[in-house]
Amino acid sequence: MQQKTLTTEQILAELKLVEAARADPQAFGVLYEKYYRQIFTFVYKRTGEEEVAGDLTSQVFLKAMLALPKFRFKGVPFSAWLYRIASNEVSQFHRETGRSRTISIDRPGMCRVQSLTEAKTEDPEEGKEEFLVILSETIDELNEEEVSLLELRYFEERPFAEVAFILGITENNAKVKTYRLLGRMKTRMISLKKGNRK
Amino acid sequence: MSAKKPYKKYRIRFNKPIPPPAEMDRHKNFKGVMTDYREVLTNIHRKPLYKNPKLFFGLVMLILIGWLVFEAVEEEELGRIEPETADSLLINLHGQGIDIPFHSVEISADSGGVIFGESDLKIVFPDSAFQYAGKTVSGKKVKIRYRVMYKATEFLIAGIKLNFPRAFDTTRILSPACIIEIVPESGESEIQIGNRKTVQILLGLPEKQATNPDLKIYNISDDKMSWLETGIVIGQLIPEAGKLPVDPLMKITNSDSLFAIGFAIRRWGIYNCGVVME
Repeated sequence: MQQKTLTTEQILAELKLVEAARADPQAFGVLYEKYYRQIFTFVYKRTGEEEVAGDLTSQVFLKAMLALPKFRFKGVPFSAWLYRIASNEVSQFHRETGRSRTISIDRPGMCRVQSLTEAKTEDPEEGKEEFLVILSETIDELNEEEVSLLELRYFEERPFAEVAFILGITENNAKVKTYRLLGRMKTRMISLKKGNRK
Repeated sequence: MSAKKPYKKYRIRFNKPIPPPAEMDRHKNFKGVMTDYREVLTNIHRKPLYKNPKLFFGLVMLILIGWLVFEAVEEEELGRIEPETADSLLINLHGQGIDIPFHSVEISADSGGVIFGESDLKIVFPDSAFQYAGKTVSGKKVKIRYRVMYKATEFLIAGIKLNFPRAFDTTRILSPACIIEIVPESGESEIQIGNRKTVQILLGLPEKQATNPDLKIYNISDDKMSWLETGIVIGQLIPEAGKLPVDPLMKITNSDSLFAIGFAIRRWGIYNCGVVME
């Protein structure tokens, strides 16, 4: 299972790797090896195509290397910086190609959203198909930033600080936006559920 | 399992497995990223043109030279087209079968001769004055055809080009007061005046205008098709004025070497700035 938070020692060790890569670009290879799969997975979940994910991941690391002299530690792991670049690359890809954005939902992620929106059925297995349909319809009404909030916070379980850093907003703002989003989704889902039963 | 697709904005994939690590690693290529990085970095650090004084100056010079060449070519084109337009008009008039008639006189090629014409014209040919194909013509009679024109309409009808070269490669149309055209012939061939041979042309002029410094001599080159200034008119009172002892005669000669050497040129003109010769 992917580790979501890093200890202070781990962050400091990571910063040393960043410093080494600044001095010698070839040393960036260590960071590349360390984060390649994470970034690939991040991009793949949002594009749904392996080849595209491979290309975009390379672009993410290229841009990271080029922007490395500007990197400043802001209390979040280096990976968050990479995710931020990856998030921008993915958005740019969808803008340029006009392809539909992919949202990957796994069972635990769906259950988290289900519990928060209190739209559970008495038997979760029985209502799973119905909830997924309602969730899909609700998500389809969200904008790009709201979808990203949902993905980063509930489908990928990232801390608010990291979510905020990736989206380029403050932590408080991320929290407020997320709770408002959940409230709206809850209302919409209840409404949809009633409509479906009719 | 995927959700049904009534949704257009987003493609929702439920529980779709992510590629296994081996499959992900298939796309891993740090060497490729490094190559792209170096390439981008080279382009970023490449000096912009405006910051490279040598290249920038070179480019400016190239553009300047290009512009000058363009200007020169355009100038030349203009200079070429305009006179040709005027000339084509003259040639068209001349080509209508109308022409100013020549007078014809025969003289000895060996001993030369003197031709007396209208308007006190006197043309003096020295001995052995002619050549053909580089050799002196001798032992033959030479037919001298000549005509004298005073009016613009006569120049037009005769089809004589009036291009006049000016400084800086510009041209203007010559407006001569008098043109004397002399064509020496031997047999059926047009011959030339020999090297360093001087033909004297004398015209009667009022005494007060005989020493007019503005009176200049021009000849026209068949090759260049333009008028060239070859000398000034030398006014000289000649006592043996012949038919007109009262009036002075104008002795017109040319001491310029080009005059003699350039006698492949058969036409002669006299340009008189405002002086009317009668």
